[in-house]
Amino acid sequence: MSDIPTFEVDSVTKVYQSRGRRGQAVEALRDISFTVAPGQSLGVVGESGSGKSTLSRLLLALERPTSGSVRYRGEVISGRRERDLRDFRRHVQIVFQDPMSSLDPRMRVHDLLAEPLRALHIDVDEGERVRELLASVEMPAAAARRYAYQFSGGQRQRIAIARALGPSPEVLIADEPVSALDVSVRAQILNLLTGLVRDFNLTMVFVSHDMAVVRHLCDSVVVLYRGRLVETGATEEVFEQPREDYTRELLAAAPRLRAQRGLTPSN
Amino acid sequence: MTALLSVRGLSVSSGPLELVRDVSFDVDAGERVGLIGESGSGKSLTALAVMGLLGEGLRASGSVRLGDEELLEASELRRCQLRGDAIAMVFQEPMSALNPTRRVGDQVGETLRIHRHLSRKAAERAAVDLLSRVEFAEPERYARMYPHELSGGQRQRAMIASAIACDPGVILADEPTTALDVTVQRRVLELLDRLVDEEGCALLLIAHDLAVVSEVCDRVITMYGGRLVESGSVSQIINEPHHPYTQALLATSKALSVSESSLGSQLPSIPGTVPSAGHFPRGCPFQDRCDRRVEACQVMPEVVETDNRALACWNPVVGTSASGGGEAA
Repeated sequence: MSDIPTFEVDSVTKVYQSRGRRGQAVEALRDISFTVAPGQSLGVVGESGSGKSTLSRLLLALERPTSGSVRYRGEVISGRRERDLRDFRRHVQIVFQDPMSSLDPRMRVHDLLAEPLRALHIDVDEGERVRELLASVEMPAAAARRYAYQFSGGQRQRIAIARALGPSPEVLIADEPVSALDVSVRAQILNLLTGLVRDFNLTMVFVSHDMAVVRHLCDSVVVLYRGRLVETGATEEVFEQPREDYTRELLAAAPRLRAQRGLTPSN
Repeated sequence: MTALLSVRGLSVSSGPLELVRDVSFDVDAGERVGLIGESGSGKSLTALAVMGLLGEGLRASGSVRLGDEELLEASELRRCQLRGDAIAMVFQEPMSALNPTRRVGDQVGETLRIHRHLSRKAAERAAVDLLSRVEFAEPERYARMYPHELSGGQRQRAMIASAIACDPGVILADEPTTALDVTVQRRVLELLDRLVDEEGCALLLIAHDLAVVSEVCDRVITMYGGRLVESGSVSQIINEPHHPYTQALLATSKALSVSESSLGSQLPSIPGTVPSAGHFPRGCPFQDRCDRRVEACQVMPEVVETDNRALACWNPVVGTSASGGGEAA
C-alpha cells in the first residue's frame, strides 16, 4: 500500500457568499485539515449546519474551497477543469441519502447502472457488467429490466450502491446512505457496505449524524461542529475517551436501549 | 378504572384492503406508550384513525374510546371539538404541519381561540407563555416569526406548544424526532417526557427506533403488517421479547450501539423487505421473513393476553437466552 494519502484536506475554509445587496457571507467550513489513508473508513459526524455536506462536496470536487486545498493521491483536485478530472471522477464515487430521489424513476435499472460507464467512456460489455454489479449488491440479474420505482427503499439503495461501484472506484463517499431506510433493512445495507469495503478494498468516507452507525462502520472519525473540526481520531478512542465537550454531548444524546425507561445518560 | 384512551378491534381499510387490522390497546393517564414498527406497519394510520384524520377513501371500524366517549361514532363537529382540546397530535414533519404563511404565535394561539374562545390579544399572550414552556429563550420574538425562520427543532417545539395549548388528556406523537439532530432529539424527548410528568396526560409515542422508545416509554407495542403482534412493559420487551419480529428489531438495535464496538461485524438483520400494502402474506404478515415459521403461520394467530403482555405468534421465542437485556439503566 502506498504512503500517499487518498485525501489530504489542508486548512480548508469554504465561504458561501449570498447574492443580493446585503451579500451576507456564510462560513460553512473553517480551517479544516485531515487526511484519509488508503483503505481507511472515515466517519464524518456532526449535526445539521455542521458542514458535513459541504465537506463531501469538496471531496468530490463539486465545490472549490475559498482557501486551502484538497488533494487526491497527492494532486490538487479543487479548481481543476472537469476534463482533467475524468480519472478522479472514475475513482471517487458517491452514494446519496435518499434512493427515492437519487435514481431517475423513469430509467430502467440497466440504464441506471450503465449510464456512468458510458459517461466515463469505460469500455466494457454493458450487459455483463450490469449483471456483475447487481450480483455484488445481491440483486437478481432480472432486476436490470425493471424500473427503479418498482423497488423498495432498501433495494433502491442497493441499486444506487451498484451504480457507484460501476466505474470500479477506489473511494466511496456515502452521505447518510442508511438514514432514510427502515430499521430491518438498514442492517442489511450496512452489512453489504462492510462486505464491499472489504472485498473491493475500498476507501470510504461515511457522512452521518448517527453515532451508532459510524461506530459500527468506521475505523476513524472526524467530528464537525458549526463548520469547525472539533475532534478527530481513531473511532475507538473518540467514542471511549472523547476529549471535547461537544463530542461528549453528541455521544450522551444518542439514544440507548434500556430495560427501564430513563433519559439520563447511563455513564 | 377505565383507561383514558382505549382502542378495541380497530381496523382501517381502503376499499377491500385492510391496512390496519383488529388493533387493541389502552393508554392510561400519566402513561407513556411506544408504538414501534417499520413503514407500512400501520402505526401512523392507527394514530390518524384515533385522531379522526384519516384521508379520503380510508375507513375506520372498531372502537376508539376517549374516557366514556366513543370517537368512531362521534359526529365530525364533535371530533373537531375534541381534536386539539382533549386529544392532540404532534406530527413528524413540522415544516409541512405548520402553515408557512402565518406567524408562529398565531398558530400556537389558534387552538386557544378555537377551543377556549380567547380574544386575539389573549391568545397572543397565551402563545408566548406556551412558547416559553417549550423552552424558547425569547418567546415574544419567536412568536412573531414565520415557521421558515425557525430551525427544525424549534419548529417541532412550536408544534408541541400548539398541541399542549388546551392541556389535552392524550398526546399522540408520530415520529416527532425523526427529522431532528440527536442533541435536539434529546431535548424534544425530554420535553414530552416532562409534560407527561407535569400534566399527567397520556402519551402515545410512535417511533421506529426501539432505543428511543425504551428511554421514554413505560410500555411498548410492536406492529407489523397492520397487526399488533406484541405488547408489554419496556423491561418485558427488552429483556424477553416473544415475537420473532420484536426480537429481530431488538437484536439489530443492540448490535448497533453507540456504547459498544461492533466494527466490521455482521449485524443481525431481517431477510427481505417490508412488502407494500396488500402484498403481505395471508395469515401472519411476518411469516415470509421469519426464521421460526411453522405450518400454523398460514392462519393469523389470535392476540393472547397474559401477564400484562400481549402476543400474536404460533411459535414464539421463549427463554432469555436470545437476549441479555438492554444497557444498564
